[in-house]
Amino acid sequence: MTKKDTVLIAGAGVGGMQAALLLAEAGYEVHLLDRAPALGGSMPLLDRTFPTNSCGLCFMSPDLPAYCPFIECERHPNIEILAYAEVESLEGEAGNFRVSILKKARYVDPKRCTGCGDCALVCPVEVPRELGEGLEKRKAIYRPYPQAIPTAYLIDREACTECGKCLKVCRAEAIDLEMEDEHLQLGVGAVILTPGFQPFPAELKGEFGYGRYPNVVTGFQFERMLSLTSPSHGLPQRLSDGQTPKRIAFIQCVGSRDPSQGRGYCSSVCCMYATKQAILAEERAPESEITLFYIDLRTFGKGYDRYLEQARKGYGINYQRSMVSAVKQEPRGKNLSLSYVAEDGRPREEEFDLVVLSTGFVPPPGAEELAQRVGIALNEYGFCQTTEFAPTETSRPGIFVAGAFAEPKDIAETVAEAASAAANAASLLGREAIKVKPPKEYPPEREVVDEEPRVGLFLCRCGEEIAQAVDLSQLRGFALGLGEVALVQEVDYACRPEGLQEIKEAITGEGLNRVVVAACTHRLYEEEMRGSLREAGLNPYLLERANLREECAWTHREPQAKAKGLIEMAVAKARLLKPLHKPSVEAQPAVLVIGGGLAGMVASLRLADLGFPITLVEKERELGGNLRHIHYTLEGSNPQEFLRGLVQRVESHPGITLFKGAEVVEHQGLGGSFRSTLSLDGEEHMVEHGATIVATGGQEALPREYLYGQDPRVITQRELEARIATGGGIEGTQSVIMIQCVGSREEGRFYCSRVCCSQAIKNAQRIKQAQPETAIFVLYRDMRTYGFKEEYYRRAREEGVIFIPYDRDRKPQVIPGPALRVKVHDPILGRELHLEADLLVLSPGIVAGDNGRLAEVLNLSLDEDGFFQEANPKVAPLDSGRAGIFLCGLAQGPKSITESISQAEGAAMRATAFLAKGHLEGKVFLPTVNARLCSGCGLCVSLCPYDARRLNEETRVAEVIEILCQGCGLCAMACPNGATQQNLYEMRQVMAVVDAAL
Amino acid sequence: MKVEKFLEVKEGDTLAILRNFLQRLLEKEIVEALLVPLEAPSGDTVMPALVKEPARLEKANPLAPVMPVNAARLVSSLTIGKPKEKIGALLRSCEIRALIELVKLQQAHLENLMIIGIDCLGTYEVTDYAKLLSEGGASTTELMRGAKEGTLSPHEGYQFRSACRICEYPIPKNAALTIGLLGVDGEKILIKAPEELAQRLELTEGEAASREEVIKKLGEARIEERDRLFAQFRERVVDMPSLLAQFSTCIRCHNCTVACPICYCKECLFRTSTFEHESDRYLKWARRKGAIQMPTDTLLFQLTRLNHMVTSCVGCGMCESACPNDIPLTTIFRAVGQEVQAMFDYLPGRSLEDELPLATFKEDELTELGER
Amino acid sequence: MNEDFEPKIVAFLCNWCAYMGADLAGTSRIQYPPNLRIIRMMCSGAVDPVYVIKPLLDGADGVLIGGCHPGDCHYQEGNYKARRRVAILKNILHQMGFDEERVWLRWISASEGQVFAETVTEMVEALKEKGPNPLKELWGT
Repeated sequence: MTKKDTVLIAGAGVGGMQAALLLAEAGYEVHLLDRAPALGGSMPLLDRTFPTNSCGLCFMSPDLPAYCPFIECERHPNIEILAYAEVESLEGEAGNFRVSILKKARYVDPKRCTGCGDCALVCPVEVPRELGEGLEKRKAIYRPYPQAIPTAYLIDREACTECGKCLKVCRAEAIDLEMEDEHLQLGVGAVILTPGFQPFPAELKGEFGYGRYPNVVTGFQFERMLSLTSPSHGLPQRLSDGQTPKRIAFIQCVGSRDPSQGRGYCSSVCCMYATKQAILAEERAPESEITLFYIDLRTFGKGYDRYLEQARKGYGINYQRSMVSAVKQEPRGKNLSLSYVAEDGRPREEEFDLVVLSTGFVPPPGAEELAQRVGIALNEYGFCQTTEFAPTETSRPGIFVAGAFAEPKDIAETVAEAASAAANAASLLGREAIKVKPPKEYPPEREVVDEEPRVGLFLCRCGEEIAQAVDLSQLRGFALGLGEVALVQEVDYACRPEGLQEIKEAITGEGLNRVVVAACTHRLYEEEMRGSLREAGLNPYLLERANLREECAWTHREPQAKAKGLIEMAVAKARLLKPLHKPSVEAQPAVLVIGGGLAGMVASLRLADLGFPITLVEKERELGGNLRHIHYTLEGSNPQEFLRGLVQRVESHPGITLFKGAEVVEHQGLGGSFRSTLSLDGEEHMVEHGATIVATGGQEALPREYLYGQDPRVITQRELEARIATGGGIEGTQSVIMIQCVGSREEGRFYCSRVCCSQAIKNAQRIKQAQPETAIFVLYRDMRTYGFKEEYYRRAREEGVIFIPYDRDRKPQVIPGPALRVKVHDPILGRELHLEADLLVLSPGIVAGDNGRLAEVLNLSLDEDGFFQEANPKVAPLDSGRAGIFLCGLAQGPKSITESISQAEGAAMRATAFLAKGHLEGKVFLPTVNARLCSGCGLCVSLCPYDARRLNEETRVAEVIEILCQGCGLCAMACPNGATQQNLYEMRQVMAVVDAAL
Repeated sequence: MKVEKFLEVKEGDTLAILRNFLQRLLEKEIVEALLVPLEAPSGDTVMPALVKEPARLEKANPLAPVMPVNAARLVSSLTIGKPKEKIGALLRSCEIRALIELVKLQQAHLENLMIIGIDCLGTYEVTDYAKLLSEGGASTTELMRGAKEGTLSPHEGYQFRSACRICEYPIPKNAALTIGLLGVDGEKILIKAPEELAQRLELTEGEAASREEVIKKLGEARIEERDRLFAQFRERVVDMPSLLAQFSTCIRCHNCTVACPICYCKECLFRTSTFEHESDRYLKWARRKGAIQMPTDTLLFQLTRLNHMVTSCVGCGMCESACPNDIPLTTIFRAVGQEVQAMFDYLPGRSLEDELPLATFKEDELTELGER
Repeated sequence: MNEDFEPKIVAFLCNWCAYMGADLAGTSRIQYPPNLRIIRMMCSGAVDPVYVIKPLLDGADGVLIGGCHPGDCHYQEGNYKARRRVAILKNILHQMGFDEERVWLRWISASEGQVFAETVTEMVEALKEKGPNPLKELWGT
């Protein structure tokens, strides 16, 4: 049976979009489906994300610079969007599935709907808006949010009263109440499930009063409230009276870590989202006094502990380790009284103006049906079942999963997992499924540079959207008077095939050599319109757009004068347009992977399976890195067996050239064509490759405190694990004390290593299993068993492991002697405890390897903790910031085995998307340099953010490295005499437009 | 480690001892060529010359109170191609400061260059100097007397260039070797040099007791004059008509850009094809306002030049000296520059370490700008 | 304040944030005064001072430069560089007797259609308050 070569992605949130963009960029065809009527999942709710407090979502796209992934998905020729659709059934097997899709009726024809919104204005029905959990209202005919993609409106038939008002105002005649659901049959090779999550229904926690007390809101509502586009313009607001609250309480773990609600897991992100919201609230309303009630602060991601510290110190947010038992409303002022047990053990009540419930994640709507329909297993909580060493594989081969549906998680991990799922899908389909479409045949480009400009102006009526507001016949007369305008022609829809054909014919018929299309925003149909020029034998960049719709007809009651201005500006620009071509360089389809630990091996195998020749360099004589020291896991898998399998596969893979005991000493060139030198036993080897993956790992820190190295009874968790695994050393041990966060999460090493809490619990459990009578104390600052690991923390407590929290300022003290004595302040008992231990086990955390030299060789930066710096901690954790160099594993920061695997596969996918087309395409907005004018001052070099400008020492002319240039135009601005000009934004062109604007 | 030593002046002939000193630099191969002002064959001015032959230094006159060109421009020409021989350049403070800016702008290199700084006693316009010479004024003795006391007043009936009148930095910084005249006894010249170099130059001991005080006094007087001019400027330029009045006589001859040591563009933007307009365009503009000034773009040129230049302007005033229509460019650039430079705590020519304000940014600066 | 006076504003908006905000104002049908002529640039940092000075000398009543919020620039830091250049420009204009409040720099994100429209409205109001750019009438530039 032949394999199908497309991928279905179910769920178009951040993970789905990431997987779609990567696969599409690599050349695979993708169907991107979502139950919701628009793309985006939970992302439209967030306009600031931690820890950068910016959006930055655009950095996610594999081809930068880019718009929001929403728009990039819509624009990508390899992505077909199926919004408002569900998977009905799935049959077949990996490589060849038959999927039946239900495309729900929108009752508005997306092909006709211009997104004008007249319908919603007249619709009399208001219902709570989904975005922001009903904080605002929407109409029965609606768009989920203003920038929604697809842009078309839809009717909520449950709310609709069929009054028919919208039908009357819709000029595009797009509304069709008779519309029926459609059923589509697709043949796909692989499926990726990324349906995300939904917030825990806070009303289930009746004691907090959500739904009854107006001033109790969920974190998701508060998130919306803090958005600058919210009704309060980003200010915190009490729903009872619209006042800005002063005293705000956050209650953490609402619907998380709560077995009574069947939610025994941690939702992983709430501590951070609450902290972010607290910071934003302080910024917007500096008078706010904010208290956050928590059990453990789980700010374990990269840079998150520093963020938390900033919230405490910089913004004065009060973190209170207490469980809130109840919220009561004071009836008159509608203030809220919180009952909790303070750290001194006494019950207390405190009044607040607003309470935010940090609700956790539960499986997405329809998860069970979806699982049944596609035949995958769910876990006890209803999330998708996966395994530790195959984090993106579901129980059914060929169906992959990523993001919160597999386990609650943050955007950074979702993005990496989505890339990993994409890698799995890609390798299932194979490289042969990549469609290298033969370039479309066009007539040869006509030479126009020496011709006098003959501008053709096409005035799009846009149905009547433009024509009704703007007097086009008057514009026509005006434009004909502008000089060098050879033709003015009205078209009904410049975007539709007939319109495009009219444009093409007019170009040929009238001998036009510049074209202005006055229609909608340039973001729409630009490629199609350029295509018309190309088909008529004109260079596609001889096109200029005037936006008569969004900039004019839709925003002004008297748009005529402005319309004239826009036409004049566009014609002025068009006259001066020049033919342009995008630069293209060949990409070497080979990858250098640095580091032969878990991440490096996984990445190598993925890429080698996809047919990319791999050079894998490991500095030690043996593969495996840190994984060699991990003998068992919390979840009970066998890492050594897994490791043996990996090593065996790597060593025998014909596509992998392995260098053990070797180092990369030189790394030159640009993404697409690197040339590196490896040093092995004093001999040098040259490698040519198009991409590089950095997977150099990290290491367990060496404790300097608590008598480590002085007393043989003090060991690290890793040493304990080795003892347990080899069966020596713990027999007869009466008492084991574990100290967490040794040397970490404090000055000097202000970050969390993510894995130590799980490591401690896994070792404690092993000891308990072997010797139930052994007393085990874990002294911790915050137990960070995020996600489903929480379950093991709970079990460990049940098994009698005793957990005692301590403060950064009141660390345990270890007193040497015949018995090791440990003094620690127990905040619950409110006194000092004296414990004795036969064995003191320290969790010193993970530190970066010796990355400095390699960073220099690769010309990459390290973060303040010595790990490799990613391009964006949230949405581009696998990119280094240098094109063609990708990061994964401990080299980028501490992480678990599972996370390393998904990052490694994800990095492999980023590399695949980068190299698969065989060439790299540059931007058209390139700077050009007039060498005669250039003085070589280097201002352009210092302002270029991409190292795309370089001063030629010989000629003293600043050159352009075209393939690195992203087309921002900073260099042209920096150039004092216009020696550098940016294509399409030459100074002459801009000045002409400025002049026409007056 | 720099030391302060002295040259003994014999029979009051300061110029002779300076010439001799410069000759020694060449003879001892401390430098292999010297850029110094020589008295021109015409006899009415000095011009910088690149000297290889020590005998030519008989005509050297570093004391001549005239500055036909800011020699930083010349050092740029000499060093941009990285000379193979070591060149000594005798420069005034404003020339050194301009040179430092040019180095940052990659228009000059310091390798194989020895900067010899000399105290500046003020300069006349070229034409004034010629006239003064013909009248027998501007004698070295007269100059040196003023230098000793720090009362640098021009010859009666004459004025120093406006830039010099408000110059707070007559003392060179960042020089390898400094020739000090201010506050030094008339029988001596101060030489500040690295110890090893000072030894080779056979200098004598001594001290310039009043130097610091004299410099301070001079600086204060200059600042007072500067602030007076700035205040006048700020009173004068308050609105659009007064803005126009400043530049109403500009004919965009570009003399200022040619004279300016910092204006490094090979060809000024305003001379490139970007500013060659079509006839239609002129007519359209004339139609729009009823009349347009010809040549066009003069104010645009001046304001753009301010934008490009003012962060690096060292205030040498060559632009004003070059202006055929007496636009008070020195005051404009100095006054505007003072505020703009202060925004970034930048002093042009102060140090090679300070980044050019136009080449960098800070995330946490100007945070109000852009916010609602 | 002259009610009949309609200020002319030239706006340079970055392609990724501010222009998208303007676009969103359009798709959201938010009404704002039509006094603005938008020139879309790739980045606010690419706005040459000449582009701002030229229209002002030719009689434009105001110039608006719109970029991404700090931290959100598509070109990493173009908006910070723009901010510095605009600060220098405004300072120079001010010192030279030109009313620098006719030049606005504003951060507008792609989701801030409302903010964009409000900014235009505010700017038009502010310029009406100021009255026409005197250079509209003066020929000596």
